[in-house]
Amino acid sequence: MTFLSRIHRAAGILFVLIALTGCATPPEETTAGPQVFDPIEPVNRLFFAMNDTVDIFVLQPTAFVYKTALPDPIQDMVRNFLRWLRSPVVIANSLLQGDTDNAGNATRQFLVNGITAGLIDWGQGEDWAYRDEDFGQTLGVHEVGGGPYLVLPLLGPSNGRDLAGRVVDIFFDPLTYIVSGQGAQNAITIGRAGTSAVDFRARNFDQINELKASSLDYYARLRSIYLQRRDAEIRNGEPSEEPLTADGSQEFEDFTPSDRPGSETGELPTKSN
Amino acid sequence: MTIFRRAIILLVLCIAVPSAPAWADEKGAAAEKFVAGLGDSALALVTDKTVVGEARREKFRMLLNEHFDLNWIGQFVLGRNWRRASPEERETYLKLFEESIVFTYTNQFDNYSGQMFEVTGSGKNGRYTVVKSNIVDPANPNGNVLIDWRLIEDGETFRIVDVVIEGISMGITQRNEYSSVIESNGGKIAPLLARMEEILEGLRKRT
Repeated sequence: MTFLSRIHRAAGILFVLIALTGCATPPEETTAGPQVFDPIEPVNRLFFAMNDTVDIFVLQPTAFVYKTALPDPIQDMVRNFLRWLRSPVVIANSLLQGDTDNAGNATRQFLVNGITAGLIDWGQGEDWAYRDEDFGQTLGVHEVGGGPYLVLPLLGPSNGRDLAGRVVDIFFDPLTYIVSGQGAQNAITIGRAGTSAVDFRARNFDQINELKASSLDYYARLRSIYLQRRDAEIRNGEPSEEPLTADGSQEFEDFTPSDRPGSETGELPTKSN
Repeated sequence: MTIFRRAIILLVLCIAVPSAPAWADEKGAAAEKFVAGLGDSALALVTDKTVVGEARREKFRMLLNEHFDLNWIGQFVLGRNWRRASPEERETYLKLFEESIVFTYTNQFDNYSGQMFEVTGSGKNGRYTVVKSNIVDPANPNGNVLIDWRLIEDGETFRIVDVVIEGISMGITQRNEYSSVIESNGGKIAPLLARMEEILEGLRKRT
């Protein structure tokens, strides 16, 4: 019963999300600049501020202790295990993207690393190294737009497409079916998400702090980074096939600064070199 | 290898060579050399423990101006708001912009831990030449960071107008961020400059 009700609830959320993604078509862009579609920005900023508070008071101290107290090889084992647990989801999504190469690599990861309980990544630096795929990326590969930008409580930056992807990925995860009992499932979900967050924060400890310190508007900067990064992940890091969109190239193609002939942007200050 | 195969390869070469004009190869190679040169100079500066503080920042500032078109980047980041800025605001803005870059990057120098820089190729993208590169961390075989450099020709040489790290364009990111600050302040430039000054002050304290 609990499992069925869980599925019902997830299906309900999924339906709402797809409706949200589908109905909310971004407005026509009138000015140059990449598409940032953030219709519920005040709400997002509120959640963002809450998440940042959690980062300062919970995540940062935990990550600091984690990276200081645990030897590097142990930290690697933690990350390897988290990735190994994701293998089935990666396999499913690679197949749905028609990427049999990565599906094969993820299968090999699952089997080979499984011998050492997922704690050691034997594919590291090899041509079958880990590459994450999720259902948000699968939707992106099939040309589903991002929809509205969202900041989720505790989970951080997302958008309509990627949130729908998160829900679908629950169904691709064998643990959803193997583990019985609501309590045990919740414990696993929270444990995995929490450990992933601590691991990520620990690995990028100084970089994230620098990013924060040098931001004029940390929210806007992370929003831009999230949207660009997801685009790059959907393309698996390959340059865009239409070379003038996703990485903002169109912006560059249209742009001429004022000290060049044919510029429309106005004069440079005379003193500037 | 059979003669037949060799003939096919020759044929393919004959077709391929004229379609890739020599000047494009030369330009790509020159652009790659330009970026590799920047990498070498930057690495030399990062690892030189005898140059510190303001001297190090001054060297970095020179390197920055030699290789990057900061007027271009600064204007690109301000986007359509550039037109609305007064000459004084533009001047202040470009100064703050350069200083922010200098302090943001030199503050990170001490985090360096043996990574290496390698140029891996180049291609044409509209008016620009894009040079591809890799930051390789010997301690972490899966931790390569891909960096693309967008270059525009400037007379005999090149100038970098954007850096794309793992698909994230620094120019686009800052443009998004700055336009958000300007919009939330009713389209005025002065609050952006005040905020830039404030952040720069914070970065100065972190040195």
